[in-house]
Amino acid sequence: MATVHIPALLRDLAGGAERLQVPLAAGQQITIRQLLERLDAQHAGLLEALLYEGDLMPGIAVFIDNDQALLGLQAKVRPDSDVRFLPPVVGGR
Amino acid sequence: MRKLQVTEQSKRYKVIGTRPIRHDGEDKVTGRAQYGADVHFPDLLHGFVLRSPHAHARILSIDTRKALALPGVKAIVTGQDLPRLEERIIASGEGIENLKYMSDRILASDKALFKGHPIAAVAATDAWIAEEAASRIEVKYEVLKPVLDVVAAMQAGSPLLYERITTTILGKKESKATNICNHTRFLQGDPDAGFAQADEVFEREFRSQTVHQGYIELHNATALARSDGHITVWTSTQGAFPTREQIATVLKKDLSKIRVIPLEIGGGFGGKIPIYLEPLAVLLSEKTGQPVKLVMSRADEFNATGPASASATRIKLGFKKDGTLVAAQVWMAFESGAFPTTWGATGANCVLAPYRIPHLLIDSYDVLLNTTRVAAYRAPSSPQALWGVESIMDEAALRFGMDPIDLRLQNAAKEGDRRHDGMTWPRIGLIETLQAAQSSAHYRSPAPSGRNQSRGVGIGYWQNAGMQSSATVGINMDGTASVVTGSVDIGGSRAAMAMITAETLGLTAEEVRPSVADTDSIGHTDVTAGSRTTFATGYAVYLAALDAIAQMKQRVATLWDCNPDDVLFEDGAFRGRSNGKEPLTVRKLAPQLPRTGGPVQGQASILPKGVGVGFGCHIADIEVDPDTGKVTLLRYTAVQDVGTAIHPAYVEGQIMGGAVQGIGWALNEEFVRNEQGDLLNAGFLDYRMPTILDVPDVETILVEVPNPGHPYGVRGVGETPIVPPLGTLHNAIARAVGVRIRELPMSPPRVQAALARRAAQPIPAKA
Repeated sequence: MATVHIPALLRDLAGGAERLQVPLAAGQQITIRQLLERLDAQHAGLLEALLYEGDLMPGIAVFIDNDQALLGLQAKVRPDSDVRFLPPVVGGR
Repeated sequence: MRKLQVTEQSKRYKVIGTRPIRHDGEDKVTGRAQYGADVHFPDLLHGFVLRSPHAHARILSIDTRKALALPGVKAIVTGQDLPRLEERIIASGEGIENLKYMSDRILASDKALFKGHPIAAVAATDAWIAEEAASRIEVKYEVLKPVLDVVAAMQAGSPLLYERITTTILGKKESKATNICNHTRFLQGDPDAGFAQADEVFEREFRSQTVHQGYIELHNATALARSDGHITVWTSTQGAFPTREQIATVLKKDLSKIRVIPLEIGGGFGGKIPIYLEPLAVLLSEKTGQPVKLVMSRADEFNATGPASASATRIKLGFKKDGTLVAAQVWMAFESGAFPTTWGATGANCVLAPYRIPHLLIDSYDVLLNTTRVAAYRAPSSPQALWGVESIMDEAALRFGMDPIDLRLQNAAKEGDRRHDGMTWPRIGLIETLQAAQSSAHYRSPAPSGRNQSRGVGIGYWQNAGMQSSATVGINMDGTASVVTGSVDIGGSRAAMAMITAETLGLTAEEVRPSVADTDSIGHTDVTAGSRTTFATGYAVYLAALDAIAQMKQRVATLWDCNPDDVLFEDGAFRGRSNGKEPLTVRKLAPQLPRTGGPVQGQASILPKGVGVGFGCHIADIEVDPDTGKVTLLRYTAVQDVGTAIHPAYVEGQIMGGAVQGIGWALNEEFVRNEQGDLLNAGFLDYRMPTILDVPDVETILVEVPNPGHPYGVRGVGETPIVPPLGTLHNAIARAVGVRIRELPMSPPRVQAALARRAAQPIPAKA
């Protein structure tokens, strides 16, 4: 089961769930886009809320297992992956 | 000035941890260094920007005929001269931006959205003619009511800056027009249940005003647009490549047509990431065929560049009787200025970062106002967010009868703890930093106990950044080396890059020549910002040096007639695995490079992960003059986890500089506006920054908890130290006079007013 943590402000789209799980067979890998499409089939609007012009909204970062996935929607998840979507992180100096 | 390195991690190295003279030092102190204002050409034209006198107004018409008739005037541009950009969101050097608004903030189109909003730009044979011509441009406005307060702007019924902007929540847009352009939320656990478990709950409100970075060098840009379509821009910027991208985006040009040459930079602190003048200089040069230079005035800097947000926060913390934090709820609103930003999200990332809290809810909003669009300022949004938390931590320590550092140690985040965003902390040095502060000579000395004197402590956090960097390391024929990067040198990064190269190649810092390249001369490199340069560009330099070493191993193998795998590079020399050859240093090998294959140049372009965050703890002894309200600093110490101090003197300098800027934010600095949105203190005489007479020597303690994500353990350093002074001084004042001043700055009039209210708001004055 891949676990997707639902951003707090989008939980209304996920029936209030803090996290959702997507069953994956042992050894199976799917992309973040495919993962979101599966979730969206049950919780309409989730995909649209994270996308802009077909890609991940600029500034939103996806983390898999505590590690930023620079490939975004193309990054692969495994059955035991832990997925989070975080808002922009920017700097000054 | 007392300086101390606690763990001396950098002593493991030969070059890293030493204090060589900076390579660019002589040019800087003799005035030979070239800044933007020094750019000159025989046919140079000078520009001037006409700015809106109103904070909020509809532009009805712009008539440039009288201005163009003035002898010496060569060209005028208005918003009509900018390409029309569609409403489209892109990632930029500073997060995300809407193209339409990016264009509108360079030159207003239909509305003036803040006082100082550019309306037109003139090029003339000298600056005075340009200014006179600008005064002859006739602009008709319909003046509108400005929106100036961050909380009032959020209320239903507030005038709207835009009729089409709705709140964005990640990628989801709400349907109703509003001044709230962005909303960020973090929720962990069950805050209601957490507060139900708490024995003590503190809920307080805090306000802070807009503050400016206060860099000395004014924004400037010189552009030459050639008839073949190629453009060169000389400018003061924190990032030549992001500047090139912003120019190309606003003017709809290919990146390959634009070369940006970064000059020396006289301070930035985040304020020189956005572009302001560059597209105007390009447009005017295109119209005239001559180079055009624009330089802002100091008033322009205050009115029309990007300061740090004003803020309003409401913070609620719940503790068990033993001081353990069990729940937190935070509401924050950040001034965005006249165009959308996402600095509130950054504040949400910082506000509770230092503490381990099982149940928390953070809501943060970015709010549009008729003020200049805010920008990054050293650890952006962390100072405004964190000082209120530190105030409550101090109140709680007094309530529980605990040492304030003990209370923080009890709740400090450490490796493996769950963060506010659900992620887990990597190796961090907050606990080591607090322990170093607690055992410092300053903290162990008696706190000042005179009338209206006391001591405060506070902590700060900044997340730091990675981003993209490129570097080349060239081996000279005599075995010395050059290192070239695309990172503008703001805080001594040339020296750091040379030292990392030297450490890796077995040379001395003086044997390496560092330089900063323009956009035609090195691979893409992101901004010098986010405390990322020594970490990320330093990482690229390290890899480029390793690449050079790998190439040199091949050459040594040729000379020794052996397999390159049998050549090792250890302790600054190439050695055979078992051939008994005399070790070859880079110095000895270099003259033989031509006959073994030619020059050696290592290169690396990277997007590193493994960013090491920064925590600091400051200690301040102060005295309050009850008659004038003036706060005098008696002693100040800044303790920070710096990972590995590459050049300790520059690390100390960064910490001192950051601390002083934080002290100014805490005690004096603020934008003062009237009801029309006019800034009443748009100059250094009235915008009161600390001077050398206002601050004691800042004592520094460098704690070295190496970042496992960097080969030399580097963490970003430059931004964290601006964060703790706000809470530290607030707490010191509260303990000295028994009043908590929950609005920044704690300037003499506010201190006086607070003392007048003292009887109505008693709190324990001493620990």
